[in-house]
Amino acid sequence: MLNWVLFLPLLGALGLTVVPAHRNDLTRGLTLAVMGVQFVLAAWLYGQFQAATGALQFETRIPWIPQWGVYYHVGLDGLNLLLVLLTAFLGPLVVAGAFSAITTGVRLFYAMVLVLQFAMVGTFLAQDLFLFYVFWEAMLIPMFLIIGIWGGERRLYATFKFVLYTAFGSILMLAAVIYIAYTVYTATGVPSFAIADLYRGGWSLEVQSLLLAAFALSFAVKVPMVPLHTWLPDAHVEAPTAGSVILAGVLLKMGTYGFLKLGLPMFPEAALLFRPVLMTLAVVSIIYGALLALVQEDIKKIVAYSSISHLGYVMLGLVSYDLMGIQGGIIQMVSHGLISGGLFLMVGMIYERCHSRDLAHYGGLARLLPGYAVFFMLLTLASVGLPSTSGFTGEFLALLGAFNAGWAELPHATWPLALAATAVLGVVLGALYMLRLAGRLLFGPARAPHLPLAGLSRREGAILTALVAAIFLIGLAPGPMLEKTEASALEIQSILNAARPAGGTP
Amino acid sequence: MSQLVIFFVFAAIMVFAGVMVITVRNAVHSALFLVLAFFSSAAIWLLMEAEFLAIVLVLVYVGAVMVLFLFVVMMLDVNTARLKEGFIRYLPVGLLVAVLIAFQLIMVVGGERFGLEDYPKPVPKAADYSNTEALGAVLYTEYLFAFEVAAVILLVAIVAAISLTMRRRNTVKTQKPEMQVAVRREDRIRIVSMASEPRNGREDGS
Amino acid sequence: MTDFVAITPELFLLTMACVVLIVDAFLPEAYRAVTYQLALMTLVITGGLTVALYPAEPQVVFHGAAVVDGMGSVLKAFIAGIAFFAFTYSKDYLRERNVFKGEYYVLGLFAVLGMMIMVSAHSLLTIYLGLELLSLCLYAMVAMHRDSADASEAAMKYFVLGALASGMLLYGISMIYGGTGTVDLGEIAAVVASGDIVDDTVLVFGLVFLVVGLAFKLGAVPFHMWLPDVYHGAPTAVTLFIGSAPKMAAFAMVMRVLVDGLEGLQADWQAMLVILSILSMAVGNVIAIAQTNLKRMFAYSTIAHVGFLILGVLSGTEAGYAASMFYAIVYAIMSLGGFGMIVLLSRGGFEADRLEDFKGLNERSPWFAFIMMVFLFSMAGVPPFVGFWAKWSVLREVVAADMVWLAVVAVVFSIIGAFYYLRVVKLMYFDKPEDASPITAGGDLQAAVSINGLAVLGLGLFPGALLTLCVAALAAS
Repeated sequence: MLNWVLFLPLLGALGLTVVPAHRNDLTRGLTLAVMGVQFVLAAWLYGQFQAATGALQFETRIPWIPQWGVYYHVGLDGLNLLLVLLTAFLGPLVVAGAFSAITTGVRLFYAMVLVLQFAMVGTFLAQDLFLFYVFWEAMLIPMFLIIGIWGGERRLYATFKFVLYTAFGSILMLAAVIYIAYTVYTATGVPSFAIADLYRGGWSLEVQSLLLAAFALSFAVKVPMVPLHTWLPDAHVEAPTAGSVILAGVLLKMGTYGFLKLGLPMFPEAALLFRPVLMTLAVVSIIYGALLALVQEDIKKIVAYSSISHLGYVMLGLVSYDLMGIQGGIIQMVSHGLISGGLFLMVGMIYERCHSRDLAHYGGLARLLPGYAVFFMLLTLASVGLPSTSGFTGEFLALLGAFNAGWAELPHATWPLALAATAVLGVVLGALYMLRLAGRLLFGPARAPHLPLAGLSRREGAILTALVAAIFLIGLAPGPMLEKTEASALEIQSILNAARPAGGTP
Repeated sequence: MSQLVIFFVFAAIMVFAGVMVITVRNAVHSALFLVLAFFSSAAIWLLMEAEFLAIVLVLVYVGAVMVLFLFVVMMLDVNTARLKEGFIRYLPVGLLVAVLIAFQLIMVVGGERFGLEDYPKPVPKAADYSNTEALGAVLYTEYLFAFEVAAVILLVAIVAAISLTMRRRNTVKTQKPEMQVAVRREDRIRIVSMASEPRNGREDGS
Repeated sequence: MTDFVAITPELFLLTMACVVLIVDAFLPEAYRAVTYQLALMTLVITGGLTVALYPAEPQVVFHGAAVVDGMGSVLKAFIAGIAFFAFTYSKDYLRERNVFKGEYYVLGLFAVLGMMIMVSAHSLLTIYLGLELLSLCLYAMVAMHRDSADASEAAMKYFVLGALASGMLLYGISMIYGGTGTVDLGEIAAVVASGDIVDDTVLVFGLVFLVVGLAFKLGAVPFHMWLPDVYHGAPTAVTLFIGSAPKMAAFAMVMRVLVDGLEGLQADWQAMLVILSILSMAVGNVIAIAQTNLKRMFAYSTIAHVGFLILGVLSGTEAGYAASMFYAIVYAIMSLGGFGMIVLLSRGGFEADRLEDFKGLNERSPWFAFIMMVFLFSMAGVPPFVGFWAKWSVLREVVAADMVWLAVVAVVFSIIGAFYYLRVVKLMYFDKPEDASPITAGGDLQAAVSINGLAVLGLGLFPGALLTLCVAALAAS
């Protein structure tokens, strides 16, 4: 069943090749159907998922390249469960959202979206380091084309910047993967890439530090963490709406997921050493991203910089080493995927109507487009972290985890607490820039570049309703989700804590 | 001792002739110096008890190849003065490089590496030993494979040379009655439907 | 197997080449295609014979002149297969330029014979002769398009520099012969291993010249000057032949000389190969960025790939050799496809070898744009295409040989290299076509290129079989 979830988009992409090039309606319908079925299957898997165990479920493991010990090994655990669900959930929305925006090269576009979906789900599901790397790289090609072909005016610059940044990071990861493969082989005589085998790999601290640095660079580019974030605004601004949604909704999580699944538990001693750096960078990302968002005039850029800030919370939660923090990080990943995905979709909708993203051109949309304004306000509040929305659950848990860790470590060190306290500032800043955006966009004298504006279509309304419903679901009833992620998060936490000197934590 | 003297005399002549081949202006002289170089190397081979090779060198290269070569040179009347224009100009650089390389070679593999203690002198063969017979004994047995491959190379050389140089001259009009009689409709006309070429493709396309 | 049975594929190929030569001489112009079909059939049967005679263990035949072993047989079968595709690609191209002559196929068959002799050589003499046979055919093929000044110039350069390289090789061979008293690779290895030679300076001296000669033939920096001019000047149909199968033969030559014969001097040649490899990757990848002609760009990319190919050999382990062999085969397939695309797009005297000719290919033909993208990404080493596995396998062995720094250097250069491949993808997908006419190439050509592209994709998804084959082949040699 899990394999169906994974391979369905690829089959869909193959199916698109036999659809005649001019039958755009058929192409769109087929893609939407494929994505829809994928979501239903993923939701079913979510329902079947057993919360009690941290072990892999729905596992498939067959040899791929036996002489190198590479396996096709996929499975669900508490870490990737929600992310797979999120990816499958955003899939149909992205497809539906692009119906009116993409009018040239429709077939190629949807084929690329499907391939990208396949690669993303594959990255989350992979339980073999090699498979993970292959999927990780495979995401690059469709994204390169999506930004490059259907992007805005400076799309070439943006897409090349995106690819070179990411490729630079992943090439370092490749070097590290090769080294890991070699040491595992010489140590055990059996080549293996199974991620579970690589936890507590037993490398010396220096080697671990180098390997972690290579992995961390690659992941930090994807997250993105300051100072490796400069590709993000360009890529987001130039990408078509669907590209931005995928980028913000799912691709950025690859980085944080990579830290959680690979970077930290594979090299726990080195991670402990790097923890202050990572934590500091996370807080810097929160504050710096928020400050940058505060001064932008381009609507899309504001949302883009807010992503940097929000993913800072995820990192903060993960490196807190606190169970609540780790789980908060996971929830925050999902929440950010929904919120920023929604915001990008809304920016895309207004852009389709007015062909401008300049904040100065707009005002009083609440009067011109009342339906739009309601949804925008809801998303804004979720982004700010209003209680009862998913943004609150994620940020609150992550911050709580950071504070817990900070108090616990207070006898030894004051910096964790200080950083956690600083991070709270980000919440205030977040409220500032989001309310500034909403205020100038929705209220004040009514104006827009292209009047009159058509109201939200039924399709757009349905997309936004689904998103908002999901946001409130997580915000009001996060219990089941936390339950299902707990066992795996505990496992990761125990690996991480095992590296600490005894007596360091309760 | 006398062998040593003979070796150095012929070696000196050979090097001298080799230098002259590439420095004299007249192509005929150059060819003649090449003949001299072949003769000297044949003599050195004789010293090494390789009589057959020495004789073949004289017969084939001096007797056949060089004579052909002389023919060609005389008939074509190559303007050698022009060909050698660059020679003096590049001579200093060339000399410098040559001297440098020679110096390095001597540094790495000086004469002491090739001394008699490393590579003992081969035992002289008996007086009735036939070099030719020995060659004949291995050429078609031990070296059959290499021999055949060499033959294939010659065949390819012929094919390549012909295909590159033979050019049917379309400008000369001659009648071929047998072809005229045997002609069929299909040989003369061909009905094709073709897509039109793009406007102003590239020059070489027209 | 008796000696003659063991070389049946070569004997068959030689016979058929002569038959084709004679048949072609008596064929009227209208039936020229018969030559082509005969040549294709010959290659198929030769490949089949090679596979059928796959030896269980190495067998040295003809008094040490040749050896039939796993590595040789696998490479020979692939050479025949690649030549088959090269011939298929070239048919329409040659016909449109009025050089559709029997000689192309005759010389091509003889070139394949030369490669097969090189691949299965067991003596320095055989290697040299096979190499000369191959080179002679290639010189003539490059010059075949006599009306083209570029082709004549390329042929001249190729000939002069090729002769120089042969001279180097011969000089090295004579040194090795002087030092060991034999040209048989097995005996040379035995002499080197016996330790009778106290001072191996003469051997190393000879080795230097051998490596220089080999580097010339491979096209490794700093002995690469001929390569871009020849690739660029030669008719594309010939370039794709030169650029594909002979690389496998050159790899085999390196293996035979350095590993079969002079493995005892590994410490010496390893250092030389490291330098060649780094320079090749650096120069190839950096200069390729500046090219506007696709054939020249591929030429420089070849140089870079040769650098990678050498990496596996210099690791000095059996697994490393297998990785290099895998790389050689994979590279031949990718390069064949890349040049095949240029042939596919060109028509009626119009060469499609400028980068601009690929502009907007996606609008002209989405399928072939996709195929070309597969080739390019594969050459750049992006998973899941087979080029990634090739790079991965050699890098893995370099790390295993405790040269992590070298692997890092290689990785850095490959990321530089990715840029120029990406640029072509950009042209194909993001730009508007200058000439929106649909692709008019023949059906067989289209099918062959498609199969080639799908092979690169398929091997990328399931590289295990080919890898196993390479490892097994080297174990049996």
